[in-house]
Amino acid sequence: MTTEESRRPIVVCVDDQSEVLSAIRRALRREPYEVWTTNSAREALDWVTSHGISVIIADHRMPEILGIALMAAVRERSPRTARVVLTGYPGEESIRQSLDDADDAIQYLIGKPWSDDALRLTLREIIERQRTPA
Amino acid sequence: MSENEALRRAEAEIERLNSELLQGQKLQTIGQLTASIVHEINSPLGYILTNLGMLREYLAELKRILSAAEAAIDRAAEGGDAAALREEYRRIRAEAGVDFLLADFAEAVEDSREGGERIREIVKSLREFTHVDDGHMVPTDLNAVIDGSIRMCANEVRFKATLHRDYGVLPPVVCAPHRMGQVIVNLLVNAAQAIEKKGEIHVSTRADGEEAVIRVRDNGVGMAPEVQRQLFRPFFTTKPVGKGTGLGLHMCERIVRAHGGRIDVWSQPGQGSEFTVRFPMRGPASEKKTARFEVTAHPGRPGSSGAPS
Repeated sequence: MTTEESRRPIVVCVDDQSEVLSAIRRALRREPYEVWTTNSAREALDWVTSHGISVIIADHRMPEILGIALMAAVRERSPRTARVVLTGYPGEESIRQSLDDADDAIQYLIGKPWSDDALRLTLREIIERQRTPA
Repeated sequence: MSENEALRRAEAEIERLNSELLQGQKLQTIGQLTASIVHEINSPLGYILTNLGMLREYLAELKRILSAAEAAIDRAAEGGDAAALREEYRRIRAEAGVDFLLADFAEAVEDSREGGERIREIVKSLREFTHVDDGHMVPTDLNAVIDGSIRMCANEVRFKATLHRDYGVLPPVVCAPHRMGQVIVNLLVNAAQAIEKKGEIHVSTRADGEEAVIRVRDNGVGMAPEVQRQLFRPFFTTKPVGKGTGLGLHMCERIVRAHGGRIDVWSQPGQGSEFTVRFPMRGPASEKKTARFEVTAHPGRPGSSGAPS
């Protein structure tokens, strides 16, 4: 890995369906950051804890853990990591509640089926904002 | 109108109302499953759409390589330096990552095809589940009916519990397949809802003498004896307002009773519950092979109009 590469931001994506992960890798393959994917929320949390991860994107309904619970854990361990939930049912009660709450475990919500352009734009904006501290 | 005619009309009317009630209960179940069904469809839809967009890009890249290859062949045919042209083609091919494109192209197509298949299965299960049937009993592959019910609530169950299936070998079982499917969906949804975080659900079938036996067991919160006693009473529910109508198990019990069978319950607070459905595999003893609800009350039987309220 070159120095140039090691400085690239890292986006972690976690979903229990590997087809979703493959598709997101495809959609983001030319983007100016690295994309790490995993089926395991636990592994994603390990990455977030030990590597400076810029953004985590997680499915909401996973067998191991709800996306919202994972996001709360991420906020705890790495507050600077931006938290995006990808969900097939944005109307779900628990998600609406979290978005309403002041403690916002979920910062961004993207619905499935997602638009690749919107996904890329959201991620670029998040990373851009992280580079220029307020 | 003769007395017999009046009685027949009244029975027909009761049967019609029962059918409506059953259909209403089904729609209520669908309502509870909406989040998981929508999720289950939108996930594959998400990756199918992304894959199609990417395949379009891959195709454009592959076309470019193809043109370069054709141009190289033309130049070689016109007396160009074949070795140099081959080198150039190889360079373009490597730069474009053709090997990756071809491999990933195939994977994206396969993923998308599987995703489409999954959506088809979900829609098929939904259609089967909401199908209005007259309760007509036919020889049925009961294990397949249970698989259909499991598909209906796959995502609801998946993120709450690990589901274990243990099917016995069954002869064709005479039953009203859609209604029996409705019973299983209800039992599965209840099992998933009884689990607070993450648990196990076991579904098994057996042939026991002349009877078919279906068991749905969970290791959820379980039920106190006073709850168990009232389980099959209409409008009895322990769920918060808006989550359950209290008709699910009542309807299940009536459907199974119309098959000449019964539902037994074992439950222990903190350990879980097991619902056992038993009914004669050759159909109910009555001559009519239709899962008609009994009009007469059975005092003392749970869920009947004769039960104390």
